[in-house]
Formats: sequence, C-alpha cells, structure tokens
Amino acid sequence: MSSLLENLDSQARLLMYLADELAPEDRAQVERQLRDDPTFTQELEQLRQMQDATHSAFIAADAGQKFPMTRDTAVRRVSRAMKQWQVDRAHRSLDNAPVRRPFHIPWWGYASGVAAAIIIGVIVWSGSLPEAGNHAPTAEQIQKEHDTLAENFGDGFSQDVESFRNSRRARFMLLSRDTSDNVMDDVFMQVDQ
Amino acid sequence: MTEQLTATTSPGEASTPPGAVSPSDEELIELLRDGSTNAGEVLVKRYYEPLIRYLQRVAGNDHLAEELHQQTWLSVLDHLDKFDGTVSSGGFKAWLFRIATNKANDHWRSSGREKHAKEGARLITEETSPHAGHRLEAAEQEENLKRAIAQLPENQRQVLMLRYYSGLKFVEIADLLGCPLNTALGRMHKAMLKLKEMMAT
Repeated sequence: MSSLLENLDSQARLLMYLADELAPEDRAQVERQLRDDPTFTQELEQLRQMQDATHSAFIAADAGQKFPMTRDTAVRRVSRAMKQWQVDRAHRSLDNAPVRRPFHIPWWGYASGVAAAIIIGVIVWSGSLPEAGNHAPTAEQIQKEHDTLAENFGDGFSQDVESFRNSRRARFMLLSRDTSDNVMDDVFMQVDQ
Repeated sequence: MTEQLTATTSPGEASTPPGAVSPSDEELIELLRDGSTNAGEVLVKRYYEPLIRYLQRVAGNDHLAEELHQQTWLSVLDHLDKFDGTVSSGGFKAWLFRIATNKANDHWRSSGREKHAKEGARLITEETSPHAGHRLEAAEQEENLKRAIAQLPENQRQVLMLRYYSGLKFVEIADLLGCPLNTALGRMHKAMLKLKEMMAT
C-alpha cells in the first residue's frame, strides 16, 4: 500500500477514487478492496449518490441565481484597476531606479589635471618668450640699412644717425635697469663696424 | 499577440473560435507583467464565472461577492511579481482561489463571523425570490442550497465550494487551505452528508 492510501481513511480513499485522483497502483488497490469488501462497495455507492445529489443541487441553484454583475462589468472594473496598477508600477520602478550619479572623477584625475595644466602653461609661456637671436638685427643688416639710408639722405645722414644714436642710448639706459653702458657699447660697436 | 488572446469560456458561453490558440494562464500572466492589460482582461473573463459563483456561495450575498471579486483581482495584481507558476501547486487557478479564499476569510475575521452568519441567515429568509413560473423550482433549489450552505461550518463550506467551482484537485485544495489531504477529504465528506440531510428536510 502506498504512503498516500496509508494516510487516508476509507471515506477519503473512496472520494479520491471517485474523483479519479489516485495513482494507478493506488486505484488498483482500492478496486481490489471493493471486490473483496461488499460494505466498502456499498459505501462507495452511497458516496456516489451523495456526490451526484450535491452536483445536481449546485447546478439547479446556479441556474436560479443571477450573477451579481455581468461579465463585461466585472472585466471593465478590473481592467480599470489594472491600468491604474500599470501606471503605479511604472512610477514605482522610476522611483526605485538607481540614482544616476554625476560623472565621478577619480582622485588621480585631479592630480593629473593640475599637472597637465602646469605643463601646458609652461609650454605656452615659454613659447611666447622672444628669442634674442631672432629679433636683434645682425651687424650686417644694420650696416646695410645704414648704407641705404646714407645714399638716400646724403652727408647729413651720418650726423642725424649720431644724434639719434645718442638719444637712443640715453633712452635705452633710462628704460633698462640692469643694462650697463658696456652692453650698449657692444651693440653700437657692432653698428660702427 | 495580445490581440489574438481569447478567453477559455465556461460551459454555455461562446467557445474559442476554431484554430485560435488559447494561451495558458502562465503565458497571460507573463504578458500582464509586461504591461498587457488585454491579457489581464482575458484572465478575468476566463475565471469570471467560477470565481464569482464561488464568492457568491462563500460570502452569502451578491454585494459582498462583487466586492470580494474586485479585491481578489486587486490582490492578484499586487502580488503578481511573486507568483511562480512552476512552483505554485495547481498553477494560477489555485493561486487565484487561494487569494479569493483569503479575502473572504479576512472579511469574516474583520466583521465578525457570528454577526454575518446571522445576517446571512436573515437575508436568506427575508429575500423574496425574483424568479417565477418555470424557474420557480430552480429558485427554490437555490434557496434551499443557500440555506444549507449557510449552516455548514466554514471550513467544510470552503472545501465544498472550492471543489465544485474551482475544479481543483483535492490535493491542491488541501495545499491551498494548508491542511492535510485526509482532513480536506473528511471536510468534503461531512459537508456532502450535511447538505444531503438538509436538502432532504
């Protein structure tokens, strides 16, 4: 005997048998018992009649009772609730969605940024510095320019140049804080040559 | 797919058109979870008759049955994400009737069983039958059954109603009610015996 039948009393077994909810081996077991025991068979018959009577009573009662509402009304009501539920669920999912954190910069990012800014600053600053060799005219250029001007302006040009030179020297020395006469002498020496 | 959904109808109602494949409850649940209200409506239509009849019998009056029907479906929606058809014994149908049973139990607990039992009995005796002519016999039967059911202990009434209206197996009913199979079958047997006696008198 299976564990299921062991746990059922005779009425329960017969109910399960009538409902056709027994496993094949259990069903065979009950059928053997029905063959061997007339009382058991009589019980089964009473139970079957009782079940049929209940079934008939339900059918008759259902036929005489209206539904509290039509199917369409029920569907409409529940459908409304479903639509609201869908909206609420969508809101809930939005509320529960993980908050998008603003772009996070790691600690080393700040250090790298500062270093990069310093490097760029240094490059830009150094690039803007005048290179002495590029801007100072060479002695040949000055002499050439001097000769061109002397040709155009005649003898008075040398005197003009001298006076200009003197004024330029005075002005340069005035503006320059650390430039000594020696420096300027070197420059004019190159011009004179 | 949702446009093609059809409700599996109860006997006597329009049947599914030939060739149309009726989706299973579990498929409809998945669609409902994905946002298809149409799938939900198919489920409501599918279980309308057995569920409302069950609630009518358990509750004892139409207004309460209507209210419990609505509450049951709202509860289904609230717990839809927790439902697992592969785990739940008896599938969606058993789950639905479990919720309906719990809703009815909650109602009895909150409002007091005795008060309602008296009220139910009063309603049964005071209600005048709206049926006449050829339906008189059915109406009398309905009244007799209502009276008999109202006198059954609640646990016996639940097993009987679940068996008759939900069509669940006894094993599933026992699981739904949280009692041993032998106990559920014993309640069923006693309920049928009492009904037979009371209907005969």
